[in-house]
Amino acid sequence: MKKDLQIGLRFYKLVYRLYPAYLPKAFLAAFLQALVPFINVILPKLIIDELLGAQRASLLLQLVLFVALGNGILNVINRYMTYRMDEAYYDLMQRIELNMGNHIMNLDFEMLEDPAILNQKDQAIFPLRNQGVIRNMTMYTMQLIQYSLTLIGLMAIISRLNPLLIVFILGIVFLNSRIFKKQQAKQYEIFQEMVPLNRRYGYYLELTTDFSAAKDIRLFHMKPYIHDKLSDFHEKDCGLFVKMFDMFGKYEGMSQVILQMQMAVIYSYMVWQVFLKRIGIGDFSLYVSASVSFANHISLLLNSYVEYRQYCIYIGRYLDFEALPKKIAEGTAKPEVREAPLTLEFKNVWFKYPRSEDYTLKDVSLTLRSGEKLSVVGPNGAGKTTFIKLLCRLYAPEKGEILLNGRNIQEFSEEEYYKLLAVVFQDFKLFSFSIRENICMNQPCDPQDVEEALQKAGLSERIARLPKGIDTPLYKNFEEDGIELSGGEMQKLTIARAVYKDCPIVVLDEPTAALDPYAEYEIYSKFNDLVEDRTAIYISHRLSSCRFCDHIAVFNEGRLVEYGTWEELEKGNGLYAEMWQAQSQYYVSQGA
Amino acid sequence: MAESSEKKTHSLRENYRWLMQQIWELDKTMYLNFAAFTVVCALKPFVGILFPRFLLQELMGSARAQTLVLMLIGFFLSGAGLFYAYARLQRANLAKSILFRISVLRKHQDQCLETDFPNTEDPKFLTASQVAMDGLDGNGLGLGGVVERSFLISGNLLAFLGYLALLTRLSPWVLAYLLFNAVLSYYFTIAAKEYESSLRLPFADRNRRFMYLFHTMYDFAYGKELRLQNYRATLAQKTHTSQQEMLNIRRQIYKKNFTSQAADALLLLLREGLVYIYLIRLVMQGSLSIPDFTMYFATVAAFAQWFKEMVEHYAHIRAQNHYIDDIRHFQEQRNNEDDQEKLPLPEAPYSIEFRNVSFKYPRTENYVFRNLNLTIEPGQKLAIVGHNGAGKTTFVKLLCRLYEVEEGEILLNGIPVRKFDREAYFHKFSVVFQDIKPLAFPVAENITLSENGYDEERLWKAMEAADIAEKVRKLPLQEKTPMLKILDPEGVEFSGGEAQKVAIARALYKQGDILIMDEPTAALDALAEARIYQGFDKAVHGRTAIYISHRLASTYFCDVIAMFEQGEIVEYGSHDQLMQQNGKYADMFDTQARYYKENPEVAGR
Repeated sequence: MKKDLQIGLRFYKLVYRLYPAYLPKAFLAAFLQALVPFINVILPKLIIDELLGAQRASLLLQLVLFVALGNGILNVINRYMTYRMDEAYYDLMQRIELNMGNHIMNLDFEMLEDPAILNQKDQAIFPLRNQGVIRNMTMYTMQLIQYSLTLIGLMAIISRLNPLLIVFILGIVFLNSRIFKKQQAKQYEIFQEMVPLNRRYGYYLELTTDFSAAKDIRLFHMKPYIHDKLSDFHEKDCGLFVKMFDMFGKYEGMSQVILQMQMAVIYSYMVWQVFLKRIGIGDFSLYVSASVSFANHISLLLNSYVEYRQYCIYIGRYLDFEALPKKIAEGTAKPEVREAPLTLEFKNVWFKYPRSEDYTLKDVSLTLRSGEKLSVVGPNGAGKTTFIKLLCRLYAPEKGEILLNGRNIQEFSEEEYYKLLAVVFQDFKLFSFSIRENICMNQPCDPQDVEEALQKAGLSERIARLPKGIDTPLYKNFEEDGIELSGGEMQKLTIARAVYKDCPIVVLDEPTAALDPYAEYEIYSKFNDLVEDRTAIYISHRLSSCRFCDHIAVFNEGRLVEYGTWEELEKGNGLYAEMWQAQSQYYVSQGA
Repeated sequence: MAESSEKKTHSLRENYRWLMQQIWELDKTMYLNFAAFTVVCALKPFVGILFPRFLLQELMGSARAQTLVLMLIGFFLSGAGLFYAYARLQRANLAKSILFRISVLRKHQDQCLETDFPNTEDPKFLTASQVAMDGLDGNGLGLGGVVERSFLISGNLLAFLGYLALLTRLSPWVLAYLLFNAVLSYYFTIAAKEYESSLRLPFADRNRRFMYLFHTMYDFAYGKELRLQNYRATLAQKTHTSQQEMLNIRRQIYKKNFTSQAADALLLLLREGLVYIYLIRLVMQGSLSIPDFTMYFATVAAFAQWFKEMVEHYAHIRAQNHYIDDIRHFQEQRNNEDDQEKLPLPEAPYSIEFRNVSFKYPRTENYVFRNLNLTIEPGQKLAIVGHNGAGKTTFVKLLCRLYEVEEGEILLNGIPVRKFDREAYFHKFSVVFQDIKPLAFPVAENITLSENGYDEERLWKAMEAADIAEKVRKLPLQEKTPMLKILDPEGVEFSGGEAQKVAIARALYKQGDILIMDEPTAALDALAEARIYQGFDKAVHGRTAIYISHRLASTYFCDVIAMFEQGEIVEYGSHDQLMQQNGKYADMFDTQARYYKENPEVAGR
């Protein structure tokens, strides 16, 4: 219970931070709702007393008006508060989503490649979006407050008759809460079993409905295989599910029986009091409806609490994820490289990924001078992409340093450092905005420069044919009139983006993998046009790309094993020569 | 080629009947739940209404202790029994409702798995699928919402008879007045729901855009780009703007809800005032006892509440009608069935002929092919090269019969492929496409596509040929190691190149008579690529094979090369023949080879 309280507090601290006005509004709404039962509890007593007494018409009329107006006005006010709260809740939900989005975007990069964190994220986000967790959390918390307030008022009324009644009722509540505790424990057990099953379910759902595997599913007759897996899952999960709900039903049923017993006792006590002529009929009606209302509200309160606790689990996960810290300290310096030439140096860099035993990069030392073109090659898994990630400051070396003009790159602010690099990743991403926006990103947009970049990338004709030209949106999931470009065209667009960026360093990671030989040649032949006098790093399996670079760095098993010009390495007997031979043999022997 | 049938919206009655049929089909016992719940819900409210009345009557009358005690015991037993039953049934209903929803979702999944392939690339179909899934998602809305509310409505329906009986005893005029009042209230509620419905499309549109922005922020895959492009703040800003737009629409809906409810509240005020005055007058006239007064007082309040809830349930169900429609529409789509009798497939080896084939994708203007003619001899290795967008992948899809040809014919050993059963036809092909998607199951299952009954020796041979056997041997559970981490944290993530090799192994394991590879070595390094091609030669022996590849090095292994350009075969022949021809193929080859030569003319150096 303490844990739930803690989670509740943490959650509402967050709510307060994101939307300070929400909490006071919610309290007010809860308070006003709490008043509702009292009119129909108190006023009938007054009416009955009068009816049994003097029967003064004018007084009776007043009382009736009081009931009707009281209920009416309170009703209107409460509906108004509901309207404002619906609105406020929606607003809150949005703020929470945006807050989370910002948090994710600003996480230390190493977390993004950590499957454990990905898992944590999915677990934190899925229930938010799919089960209305935040909505329910806020709703049940407000209900808790509302019911508690009502209960306090009712207790005041009932204790006028006999405070022992309160004690009795609370005793029953305590009994019921023991039952709830047991139910919770059982539920948690089942819940643990269900989590991996739910994940499995989500995976199957995606597999069958997202159609990206449609070709394979048909051509490889995967239907029976998938069917079996689905059926198997169904049996297990659904069985568990029914068991869980059945268990809920039993516990809730039991607590209902206890509540009914409680009601019977209260009624008996009232009847006895009337029997002994200690209270009148009017009071009988008052205390009975107060007790009934009290019992109902206790029931509602416990129900809300149970639901609240359920959602605490999800909220807890969400809060934990939201609290993931930033470990890499943010530098603040601004690199002064606009006029001065730029030297990048890797100095005895060692790196291994978090949670990994082996080093992915071992003692790598390399100097890149201003305007130099470097080709980075090596077998799959040799560390080339890791090398790039370190260069991009997505990770920090464990040992050794990376220096920009003699200064450790960690000292610079992220934003300023990124302004220096234009990177085309292998798994690049474009956004569903206009082509112009994808090319210019955050920089000012000069249509002439954009056109030039498109030309250099070999895309300008294709774009010119589009009715909206560079204002055409990409993809169809944002704007409906967006276009789907082919894989090769996308790659060219990313190249155009890199060309457009006004910065001293360009990194290209397999930029022609999806291009046909002509397009590839276009890129190669214009390479110097593309990068001009910028420093460039080029990774490619196609060793032909090495020919237009100044130096080649060969990586193997995390080490820089060979470094030199093409002539030097090709003539040598090392790994590069072997790879070159393997790839070029077809061309050299077959060529015209 | 299946066309999505044109959509016509069914009425609520029709859709509701369809829903009841689905319940009958998928879970008959739910009807029992409906029945039991109805009975319990009908009786439950009257315990609290009738019992106090009888108790008071006795108290104000004879006040016999024995009678009072019996009444109290009776009250306890009936109350406890009914409330216990209610709690059990409520949970059971919820469970059934969720399971039902999942069953319907399974039917949806079946449809996705079985639908003709062209549908899976048709935006209309994809939207229909997404929209149907929206209706199946979650409990409060869509199908789940309708089922839940149905329970509540059936529960309350009988109760109405009880109220009817009581209120008629009081005065038919009171009943008439209350009903009239209730009907007005109904119209207010409906008006609000209609308004909400009318804004559904503009809202859905903005929601789609918001979801895109949301996913881009949340998806780790965008992490590198967002950082390196310094785009994070901009994206956050765009998202915020999008959110504001949606909030504004919601505000309008909530406001409209409020105005209709405020009107409703005033109605309530009127009703309460009048009825209570009427009741009091009756008491003052002596024609109504106090116990009866309390009973009717409670009844009027309960009836008002009852009616409000019924209206709410009905309005909610009405608002979900379009969801039911979407779900139903999607599931009722049928593939085009060809009633003709199917021929058995001939024995290998196979020759394939494209005869005057013209093809364009459904609902598009441009033909991908016009009068394409090509023959692939048995056991031949064919390479297909050409620019991006020249029609190479479409060619493969037609060859595999993922799309059917309308103009012209494709012949297998001289027989038009239409005459063969499509599933049987699929059996003959082993295909590796460009977009590799490993399944989160053991490597062995990814390759053999069966959990237990696979041939181990065949599996290892396939893995050897695909150059992945060594890697698999080194894995903790070897071939039983799961391939992704999503379902099993002990799973292993394969690199792009390794996943490609697994896909190749799968194609080789199948031992289809016709092997098709679309860019099979795009993600592999030079040495791995060389190993694969050597492996192919051995593994393919004698079978017909078709390679699509930009890497002209692969054409070295092939007997003939077909060069596609703008949907036509512009050159055809062996590598030597085409190089001699000195045409487009030779040009493309030279371009790629340029940098591998000894003294290339490197531009600009």
